[in-house]
Amino acid sequence: MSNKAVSGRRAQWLRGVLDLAVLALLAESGEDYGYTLLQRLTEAGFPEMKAGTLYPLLNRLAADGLVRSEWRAGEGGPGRKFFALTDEGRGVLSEQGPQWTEFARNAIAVLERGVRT
Amino acid sequence: MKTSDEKYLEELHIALRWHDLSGARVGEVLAEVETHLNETGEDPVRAFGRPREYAALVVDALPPNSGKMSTAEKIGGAFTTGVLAYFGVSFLSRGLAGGAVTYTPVDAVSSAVLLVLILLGVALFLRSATAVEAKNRRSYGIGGAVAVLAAIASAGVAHRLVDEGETLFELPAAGGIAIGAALLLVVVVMLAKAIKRGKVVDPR
Repeated sequence: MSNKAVSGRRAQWLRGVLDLAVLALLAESGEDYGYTLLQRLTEAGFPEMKAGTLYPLLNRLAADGLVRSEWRAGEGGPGRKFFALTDEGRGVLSEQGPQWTEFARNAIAVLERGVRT
Repeated sequence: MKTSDEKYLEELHIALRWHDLSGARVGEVLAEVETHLNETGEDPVRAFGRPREYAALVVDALPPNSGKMSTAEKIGGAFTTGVLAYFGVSFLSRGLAGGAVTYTPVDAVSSAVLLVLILLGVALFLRSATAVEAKNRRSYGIGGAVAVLAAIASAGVAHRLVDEGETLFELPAAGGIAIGAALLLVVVVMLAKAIKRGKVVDPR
């Protein structure tokens, strides 16, 4: 499989889970800003995370009412935009997070059986 | 801030403008990008993609009620402004020339054809300005230019194809000046609102 095809497939996986992953990270930390969210996603093993992927997603989640955002003045520097979960975001994560993890468990079981064959 | 970052932000600003986002939304996006680049020192194209590509991503991620005009709103707004400006200038100039302002079937046909072709040209130029792929930018740009040239040509052709016919309506010069001035005033108000909506606000 070509590098482009592999990269395209990984992009599809990411599209399927990134919004829930961002909600989960915000639930864990209470609030966060774009750059450190990006670092945490990369450290968690999410492939090829770029700012150009994360910021539009964060703004879409804010427009959908699942997160709220706030610019805060930095100490001696320009401001940072912080994001935090709203109650609605917490509700979506509570409802869809378990559904996604069950789906992922089933997918892992099928793939592992096939790979072992 | 590096010169390359400033250049990237300028190009992104222009790319976002072509999508006709509100000034508040443009300011928000530019502030996010600038803050990220200052903090990380990352190459902007590596972090966000080319300015046109990132502008398209930003617009795709926005729901309809968040500072983005739909294509229908953009074209409708441009068309309304164009029609009001066209008739405003036409009535005002004819009135100021001293004679009565008359409208014949030829005027009606040539106005309609001119406005449709100008509208098509504007729509194609807008698509060209926001297209990400170079070949699409070229195709839409050429289409827009052809539509505008056809609009210019149509003014002469209408008089050959349509009989002058009876006058559809006639206004005294003063009436033409008053209506023309009123239409142009509406255009100025619409443009002032558009400028206010488009004013970029840095949220930081």
